[in-house]
Amino acid sequence: MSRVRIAIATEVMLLLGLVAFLAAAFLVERGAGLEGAVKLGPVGQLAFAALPALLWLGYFRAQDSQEPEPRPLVFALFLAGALVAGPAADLAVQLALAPDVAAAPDFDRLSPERLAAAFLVVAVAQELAIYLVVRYSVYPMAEIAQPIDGLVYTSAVALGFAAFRSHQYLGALKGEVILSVGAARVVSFTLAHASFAAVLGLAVGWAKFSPWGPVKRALVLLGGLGGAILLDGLFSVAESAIAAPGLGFSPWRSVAFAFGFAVAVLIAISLPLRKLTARTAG
Amino acid sequence: MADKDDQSKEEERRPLRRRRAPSVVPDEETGERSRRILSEPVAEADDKAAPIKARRWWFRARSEPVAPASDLAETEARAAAARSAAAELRSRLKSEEIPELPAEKPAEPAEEKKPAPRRRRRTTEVMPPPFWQRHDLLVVLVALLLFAGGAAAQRVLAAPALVPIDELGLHVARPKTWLSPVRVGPPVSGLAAGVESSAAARPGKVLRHVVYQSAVAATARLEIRIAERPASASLKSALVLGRISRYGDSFTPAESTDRTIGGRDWVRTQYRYPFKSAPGDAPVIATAIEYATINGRLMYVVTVHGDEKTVRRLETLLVPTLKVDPNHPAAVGRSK
Repeated sequence: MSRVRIAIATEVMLLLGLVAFLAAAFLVERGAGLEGAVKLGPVGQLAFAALPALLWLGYFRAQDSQEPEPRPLVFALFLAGALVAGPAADLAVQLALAPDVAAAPDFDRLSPERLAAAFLVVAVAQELAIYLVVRYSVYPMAEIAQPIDGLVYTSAVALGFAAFRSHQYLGALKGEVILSVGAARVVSFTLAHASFAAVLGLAVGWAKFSPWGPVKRALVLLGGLGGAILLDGLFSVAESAIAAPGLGFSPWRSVAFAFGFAVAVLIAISLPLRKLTARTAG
Repeated sequence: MADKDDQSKEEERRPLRRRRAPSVVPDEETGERSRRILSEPVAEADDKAAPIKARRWWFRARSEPVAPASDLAETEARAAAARSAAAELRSRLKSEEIPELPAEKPAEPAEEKKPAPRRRRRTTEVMPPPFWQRHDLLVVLVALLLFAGGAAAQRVLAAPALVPIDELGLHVARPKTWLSPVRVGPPVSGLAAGVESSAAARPGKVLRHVVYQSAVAATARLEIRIAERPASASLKSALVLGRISRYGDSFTPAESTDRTIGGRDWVRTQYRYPFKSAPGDAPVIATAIEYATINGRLMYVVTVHGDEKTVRRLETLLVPTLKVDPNHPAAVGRSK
C-alpha cells in the first residue's frame, strides 16, 4: 500500500474513530444514566481533550510500516502544537480582540466585524502558529523525506493545537461537562484542525521538494497557509451559524458539519497529493 | 699571474677546510658531506645573499642521500672548471672595457606585476541566498501584515458609536448602545444619615445626577453629577466629602491629580469601592475614575465605573470628549 493511500486511509480511520468516540461518550452517558454534567478533574480534562488526537497519531504510526516516522519526533510535534502553537495563537487573539465594553452587542453572525475577526485575526493567528512550528522545527530536517511527510508532521502539530483548544473549552466549563456535548465539541475541533493541516501540510511537502527558487517556494508556502486560513475562517463562521441557529446550541449539527467539511477537504487534497508524490518518486 | 695566484691560494685553502673539527652530527662522520658543501660555489653565493634560505637548504640536504664517490669527482671537476672560468672573466674585466650588459626586458617585471584580468562573477555561481529567503520570512511577513491589518480592521468595525450629552454647560459623550439614564437620589446613609431629603435647599445642592448603564456589563457605568459650587470648601475637599457620604469607610483612599482637558483643569481621582448590581448580589470591588471641575457657580463631576480594565477603556473613550461651556446661563448665574 502506498504511503498516500495509507495517509488517506488514516484520515478515513480518523473520521470513523471520532465517530466511535462520540458514540462511546453518548452510550456512557445513557448507560450510566447521567442526566447532567460530569465533573472532570485536571487529568480527566487532559485525557478527554487529547484522546481523539492521540488515537489518530497511534493509528497512523501502526499503519505507516513502510517508512515509519520517528515516534518521538511526531509526539514532540504534537506537544509543540499543544504547548507552543496553541498558547501563542490564543495570546495573539486575546490581544487583538480585546472586548470593548462600550461596543454594541453584535447579534449578526455575518457582520463585517465578525468576518474580519474570524478570517483575518483568529484564523491567521491559529494557522500561522502551526506553520511557524512546522517550518522552523521539522521542515529543515531530513525526516521529511517525501511530500506526504509534510502532511504527517503538520497534522501532528495541528492535532496538538486541537487538543489545546479542547482543553481550553473544558477549562472554561471548569470541568463540568455533559459528556456527549463535550465529546462533540472536541471531535469538531479535531476534525477541523486535521482538515486545515492537510492543506498546509500539502504545501509544506510541495515546497520542500520543489525544484524552484526560494521566492517561488515561499509562494507555495504562502498559498498553503492562505488556503488553511481561508478554510479556518470559513469553518468557524459556518459552524457558528449552523451550530447555534438562534439562541440555542446544537452540538450535533456542528459535528455533522465538521465531518462533511473534513471529508470534502480530504477528497480535495488527495489528488494533488498523489500527483506530487508520484512526481517526487519519478 | 693573477690566475696562478688564485689557483695556488685555492689549493692551499682546501686542506685547511677539510681538517676542520669533526661534526657532531653522526651521519657526517665520513666527511663526504663537508666536501660536497665546499664544492658548490653557487650554493655559497646563495648563502650570502639569502642566509635563511640557505639554512633551509642545508637542512634539506642533510636528509638527502649523499652522492656516490664517482659523482663527487665529477662535481669537483665541474667546480674547478667554473672557478677557472670565473677567474678568466675577472681578468678580462680588469684589462678590457666593460661589455654592455644585455638590455633588460622591460616587459618581464611588468608582466609579473600585472594583475590578473578581472573575471566577472557568473550569476549562476553558487551563492547562499539571503537570510530572508533561506528561512521563507516572506511568508511570515505577509501573514503578520494580514494579522495586523485584520486586527485594525476589526477595531475600526467594532468601534463603539458615541452620543453627545449636554447638561447645564457640560458636554460629554456616552456609548450609543447603553441604557437610558437613571436619576440618582441623595445618599441614604453615611455621614448624612438621618438628614431629610429636604436638605436640597442647603447651599451646594445637586442639580443633576444621572447614571448611564452598559447593557452588557453591570459594573460599567457613566455617572454625571452637577451641583452648585461648594461655598465653604475647596473642590478636592468637597469631592472627598461626597465620596464619604456615599461609600462610608469602605472606599479606598484615593490620590487626586490635575489634568487639563479642552483647555480646562480637571481634578482626576481614582478609587475603589464595593459594588452590588442588585440587592441580592454578592458585592464586587469596582473601580471608579472621577473627573471634576468648577465652572462659574457650578461643579461638574463625571465618573466612569467598572472593573480595572473597563474603567481604563471608558476613560480613554469618553474623557477626551469632555467640554465645558463657561458662558452657560446656569454657570454664570442667569436664568434662561
